[in-house]
Amino acid sequence: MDAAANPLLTVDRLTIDIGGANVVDDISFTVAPGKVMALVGESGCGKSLTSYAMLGLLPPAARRTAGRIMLENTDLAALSERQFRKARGKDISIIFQEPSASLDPLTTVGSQIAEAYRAHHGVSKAEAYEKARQMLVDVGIPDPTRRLDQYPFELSGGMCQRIMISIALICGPRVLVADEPTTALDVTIQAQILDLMKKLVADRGTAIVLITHDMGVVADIADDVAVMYAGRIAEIAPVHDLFRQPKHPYTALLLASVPKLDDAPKADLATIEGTVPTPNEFGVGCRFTERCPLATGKCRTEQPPLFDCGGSHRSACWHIDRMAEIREVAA
Amino acid sequence: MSERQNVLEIRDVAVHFGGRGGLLGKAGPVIKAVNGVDLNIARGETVALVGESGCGKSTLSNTIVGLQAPISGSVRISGDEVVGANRRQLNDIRRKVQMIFQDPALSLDPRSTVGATIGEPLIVRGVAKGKALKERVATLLQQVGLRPEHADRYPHQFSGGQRQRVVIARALALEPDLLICDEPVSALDVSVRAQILNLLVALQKRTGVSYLFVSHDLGVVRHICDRVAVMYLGRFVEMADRDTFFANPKHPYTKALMSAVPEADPEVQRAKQRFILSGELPSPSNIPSGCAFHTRCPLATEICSRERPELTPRADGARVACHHA
Repeated sequence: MDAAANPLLTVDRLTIDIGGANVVDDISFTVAPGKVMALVGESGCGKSLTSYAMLGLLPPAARRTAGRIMLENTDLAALSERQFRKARGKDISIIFQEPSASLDPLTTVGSQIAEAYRAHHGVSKAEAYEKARQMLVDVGIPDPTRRLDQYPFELSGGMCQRIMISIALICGPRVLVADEPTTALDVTIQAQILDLMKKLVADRGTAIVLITHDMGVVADIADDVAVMYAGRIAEIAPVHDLFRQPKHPYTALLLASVPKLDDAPKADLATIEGTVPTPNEFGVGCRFTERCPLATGKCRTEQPPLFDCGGSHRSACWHIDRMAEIREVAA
Repeated sequence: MSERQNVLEIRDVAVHFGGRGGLLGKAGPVIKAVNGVDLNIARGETVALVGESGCGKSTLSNTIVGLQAPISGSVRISGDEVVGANRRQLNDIRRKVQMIFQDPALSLDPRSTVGATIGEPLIVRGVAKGKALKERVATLLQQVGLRPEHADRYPHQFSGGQRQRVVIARALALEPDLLICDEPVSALDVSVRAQILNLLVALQKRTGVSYLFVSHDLGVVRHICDRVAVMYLGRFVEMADRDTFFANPKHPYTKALMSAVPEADPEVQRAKQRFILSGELPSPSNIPSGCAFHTRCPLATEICSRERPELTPRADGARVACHHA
């Protein structure tokens, strides 16, 4: 993986504790410039906490107990709040799911974008506004001069998300964390925003960490994928390998549960029985055991490490050689 | 379809909002949410209503259950007219049509046990009480894949998927003819989504209930629906049987929607011919002249801004409202 050869961001054995449970447990991955790393998983898998940790935005109850988050040679996780304030926006930025909840309703969008620029650059307001106007052109907002003077409620959801992206990118960060950036948007607008993100990656070499639960979005934009389950990485691989040859039962079942073009209508979809364990139900073994059709005694008592499956494909399962059985269950 | 009994018949329904003087006497713009829609749903049939936010699909759903009065048109549920019905008539009609929503957490009373929630419509209607009520609730819970002892628990003790099962059980308590499902799986995790879709299919096979399935997820629509209607700014632009619809979409808006939905397969997705719409949905208070889609349509010509195309039948049975498709 070229990400391993020349990583910009390296998350190394990150562990986050809430109330005595490792809700993020020993997570490692790297992202190279101009690449998109997707963190995929269902609610409670720890993907959002992982992303908040990168920005120093962990909620008070959560504590990083181990691991590093290296942006080149700086350990973001070790920064003080004061130091973090200098890094946020300039080195690493984040956009959230609900743009209307992230924007200040009482401030014009121009002022919000310019403020982000002035926080890191000692320039005049006029200069910052000019920067903001250029940024709006870059994110494809027509009539930018008029838009700068508008308030968020005057803009549509897709437009607000473009404003969020403008704020996040105006200082040219090298890493953009996108937490479900299109989940609240309509599909035609989602397609526009995904295309915009692809263009930014290509033009600026921004590295993106994309948090999502939508396998379609992953298939569209990701270079590499880490599938998370109950705080751990179940499987991590280049996107084509993951979809073609999933090596973890959870990934395989997840993919099989999405309705496909060639499925018979109204035929039973593959399901994953049961529900995600809560942190106080985490056992000592593999956390997917209770829902896994391949589970054996060993899965209950011993946590599987991430096994190398060739290339940069790795899977945390004791039964990688039995994946054919999953395909039968899923079929 | 005429030999089958229709559970829903909508004729030329239009719903507008506003326009009258507001608090300060100033007349606001008229929002034309639904503009002349016809739709039938047969017994045991599932019809998908597809469209983006602001297209009028929720307004139409609300009109069907009598929560919103149309300015014109007729809505019949199993033969009974909803439009203009008085309170008592509406009460009777609503036994036959129920609704489930996207977020089950918002549809359940956090302070009522699940048993009380499911049993309430039965008590209100005087269908059952005492031991019979308890048994009926237990049966309903089992039908949706929960256990009878779950009746004593509260919504917060369930996962999202289980809560949606509770909502479905409550909706089915009065054995409705029609269930309106407004994005019923969008808020659920992927693995749970499949469970709920399987449940909806199984319940339909058992009870013969019809579904109006409001969704923007074409993968789900393709899986569960018999027929598809696409809505844009308050009108249907395309309507067809599932197989025809997915094999040969015709309206440019339908094609744009299909190409915008990302396929969960990187090879298919990245090879796909993209048909990305420019711009955004115009406001329903200011609907473009002629074909409402002409401002975003790649095929638009002069006639499109002048004349509104009607839904016309095509050789394969699909009905499409487009001058050029």
